[in-house]
This record gives sequence, C-alpha cells and structure tokens, in this order.
Amino acid sequence: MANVIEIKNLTKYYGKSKGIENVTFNVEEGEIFGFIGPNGAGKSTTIRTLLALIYPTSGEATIFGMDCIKKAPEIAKRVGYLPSEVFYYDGMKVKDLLNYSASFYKKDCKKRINELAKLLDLDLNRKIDDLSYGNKKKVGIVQGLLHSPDLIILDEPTSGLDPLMQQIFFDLLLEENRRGATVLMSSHILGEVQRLCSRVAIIKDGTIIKLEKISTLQEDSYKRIKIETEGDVPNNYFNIDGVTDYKTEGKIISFIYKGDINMMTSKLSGLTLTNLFIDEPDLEEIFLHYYSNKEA
Amino acid sequence: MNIYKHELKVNFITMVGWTVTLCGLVAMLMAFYPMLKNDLDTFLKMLDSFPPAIKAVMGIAVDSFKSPLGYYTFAFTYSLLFAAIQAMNLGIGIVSKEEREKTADFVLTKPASRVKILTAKLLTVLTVLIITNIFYTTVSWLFISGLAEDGISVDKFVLINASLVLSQIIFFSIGLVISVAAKKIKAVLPVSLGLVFGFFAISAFAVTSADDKLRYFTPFQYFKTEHILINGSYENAYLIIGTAIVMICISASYLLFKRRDIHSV
Repeated sequence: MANVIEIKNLTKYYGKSKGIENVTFNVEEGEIFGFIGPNGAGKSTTIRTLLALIYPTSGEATIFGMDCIKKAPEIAKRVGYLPSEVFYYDGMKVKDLLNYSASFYKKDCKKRINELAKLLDLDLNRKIDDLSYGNKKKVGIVQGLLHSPDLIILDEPTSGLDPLMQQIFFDLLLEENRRGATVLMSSHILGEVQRLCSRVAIIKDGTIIKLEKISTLQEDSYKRIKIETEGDVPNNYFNIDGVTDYKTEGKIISFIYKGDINMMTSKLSGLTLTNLFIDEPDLEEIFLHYYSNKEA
Repeated sequence: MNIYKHELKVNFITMVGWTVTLCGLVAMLMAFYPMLKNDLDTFLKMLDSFPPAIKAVMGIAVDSFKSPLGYYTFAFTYSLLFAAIQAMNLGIGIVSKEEREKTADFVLTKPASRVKILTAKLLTVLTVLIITNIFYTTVSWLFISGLAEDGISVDKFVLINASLVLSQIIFFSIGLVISVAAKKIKAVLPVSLGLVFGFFAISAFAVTSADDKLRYFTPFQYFKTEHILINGSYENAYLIIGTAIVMICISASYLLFKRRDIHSV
C-alpha cells in the first residue's frame, strides 16, 4: 500500500537542545496510526514539522509524496489538523470561525459543518469565548474535519473531552477512516491508541524506540493493580513474570502487571482481599518500568 | 482575500478607536486657535520666553503661529506621535498576536502560504492606515479652511498630511520586522510604546542639538514640517532613507516569517 506520510531521519534542534533526532517512520494509506510517548518526548515537534509549523534541522518528510515544507499549502488542502489545545479569535461566533475555516478550501462545506455540529451537539450561534473547554475542543474537531480531508492529524485529541463525547469522537474518526481518510494521532494514553490504531510508533526522548503493530502491543496489556489484604502476603507471592514496580505499604500492595490476566486473577483469588483497584497505568509509568529497563 | 477580510474585521474596532482619537486630538488643538489668535501677541511673547529646547521639542515655532497652517504644524507634532503609536502597534501586533493568542496553528495549517498570509496582513494594515488618514485629513482640513481668513496653500497642507501616513508606514515596517525577528512578544503595547518614545526622544535630541546626523535615526524627523512650510517639498535624502528602511524591513519580514518556527503552547 502507498505511504501517505514518509518521514526520513527527521531532526530538530531548538538551539542546542534536542527536539527530535533521526525520526523515521511511514504511515500507510488508510490506516490509523498512533504516535505515542510520554509528554515532552517529541510528538508535537514531529507533528508540527509535518505541518510546516516548524522547520526541521535536517532530514525530510513527505505527505502525499510532496515535501512537507516546500509544498505545505498544497498539502494542507487535503489535511485536517486538530491541535492539542484550541484557541480561536476573540469575539467570533462558532459559525463565523467555521465559515472562515471553510473559506480556505475550494469546496462547499456548509452541509458537513451542520452534520458535524449536530453529531457533536455543538451550538453554532454561540460565541467561542463563552464555550467550555470541551466545547472549544469540538469547534476544533469540526474545523479539522469540515473539508473531508484525506489525512487527519491529531495532537492529543481527547484531552478535555468527557468519556461520552470521546466515544462519539472516536466513532467519527473511524467513520472518516472507512471513508478513506488516513489518520495520524498522537497520544500519551496507551489505552486510546490501543482502541483505535492499527500501528504505533513509540517515541521517547526525541527518538523512535519502537514501531509496532497494535496487535503485538495488545498482548502487552498493562495493568496497575493495587490491593488491600486482610492477612499478610508472603513476600514472594507475586514473584511472577510481568510484575514490576512492586511496592508494599502496610496492608496495601501495588504493582504494574503485564501478561495474562487470568493468571493474575487466579493469583488474586488465593488472597482474602478487602479492596481491589485495577487501573490502566499511564504511558510514563510503562516507560519507566519497561522500556527504560530494556534500553539499559 | 478571505484572510484580508478576516483581518479587517478583527482590526476594525481598534482602527475606529485610533481614528476617533486622532481626529479628536487635532480638533481639540485646532479649536484653541481662534482664542489664541485674539491674544496672539501676548501669547507669543509668553511662548517666546520658553527655553529654546522646550520650544523645539514641543513643536513650537513662534513665527509660524500667525497662520493657521503654521499653527497646524504644532498640532501635527502630536498627531504624528499618536499616529506613530497606532502604526507601531500594528507592526508589532499584526503577526505576533496570532502566536500569542495561539491562533497561528489554525491559520498556518490552512492551504495558504506564509507569503500569502503576510501579504494579506500587509494589505490590511495599508487599508487601516489609509482609512484613518482619510478621516484625519478631512477633519484637519475642515478646521484649517474654516479658520483661515485668506487662502492657504493646499499643496503644503497635502504634503504635511501625506507625511503622516508615510511616517506611519516607516514605523509599521520597523515594528513588523522586530516582531518577526523576536523570539516572542509577550505584549504589544509596552514594546511599541517603548520604541515610539525612544524614537521621540531621539527626535527631541535631534532638534535641540546642532548635530543634524541624529535625524537619520528617527522617523519623526524625516518629514520636517518647517522644511515643508518654507520649501513646499520633502527633503530628498530623508525620503530615500525612509523608502530604503521600508523596503529592507518588509523584505526581511517576509524572509524571517517564511522560516519562522511556530511553537506550541
């Protein structure tokens, strides 16, 4: 399949401090590609270079086979971008902003604007200043999708959206994807990437450390488990593969687990618990305890 | 075209504000003239007793106060100061505000080249300045022609007033290049006021000292009203310098803006 995005040895230094170094990966046509890494790892730098918002120090990137810096306006016609934080012009109504956005594309976007607004439950006649953060984010979503782009680039798209809206938004992305749009999204939440993407690139400290199919990652399902027990737990009780960051604090035990869930539940059933928490660890934790160890 | 229209809308209120301020200022200063004329001799004597430096800085040329146009050049000194602030605000703000208000991500990821965006912004500024000047010139003309008993030199009036917009373009260009060269402009007004008053201070030194070279360093001195009143023309040397500054600043702005990194929040 053809590559929509090709990134080759992309490097960006801010003065002497490193932004990204030798980032190389491709995004294929029609896939939903996840770009994950802890905050400050270089996700935004990479994405902003693709969008020609910043200039690479070296290396190159192409979108639709065109150089992303030299052909930026040409590429932009077919790209929809949703920044991680949305801010728009003071005093403008949602409608005015969307019409301004639509005026850049040489097609009629009225119908799509209304469809999207209805779907996201967004009032077009309100002033943007008066909107809540989540609603501003919706303006951003509509603004990014109103011209039915071939490539959708999202930078931390879900921050600020409530779970219900997040679901609607994900469905919307999947629908766009079925229509034929390629999606590149960055995130620091592994769970949302696992739900949507077919492949991911993992970036840390400005370099890509892993490029994987999501099915592989799914096997690596990470759980942060915290239990409170009645009696004492033998010190080596959880001494099994996949347990890291093991901590005890009185009767409270916590650790990160990667592996077969059934194995863990049977292990847990052997104890008398007074409380149990199972959470998805955030990416930073996973990186801290898995990837950084492997590297070292 | 869509960017131009949007920019005009965004800048409309501020433009009205500055236009009203400038027109109000010149109207107020010119309204003093009839009172002043009745007591011209005593008034001139009082003014003449001011130290020469103060007179020069304030734009007071006692001899010229006898004619409305001469008195107008005094009012013009202050109009020019305000007009310079308007232009400098536009220069510092027109590009930097998009980054400060984080709208740069929006407009710069649309299918419009940076050259096109900057050009639309320049056209907006030109429009704003021309509209402001049309109102300003109309108001000042109404006062001068109303106050003059015998004919006034239309040529000289036009030359003086045209120098307002020309100076504004110079101030704007300087502001623009500074804003795209700077890493970040945190707030427009402190920067632009600082620059304008800096230039004004140089101008004050230039008129009080005998050193003519200082005039090169401040756009306030490129179109001297005394020179226009006497000769009915601009000084070529300064006209050339002004043009050169505008051309260099604008081209540099294009180059810098094209290569500028737009950082995220």
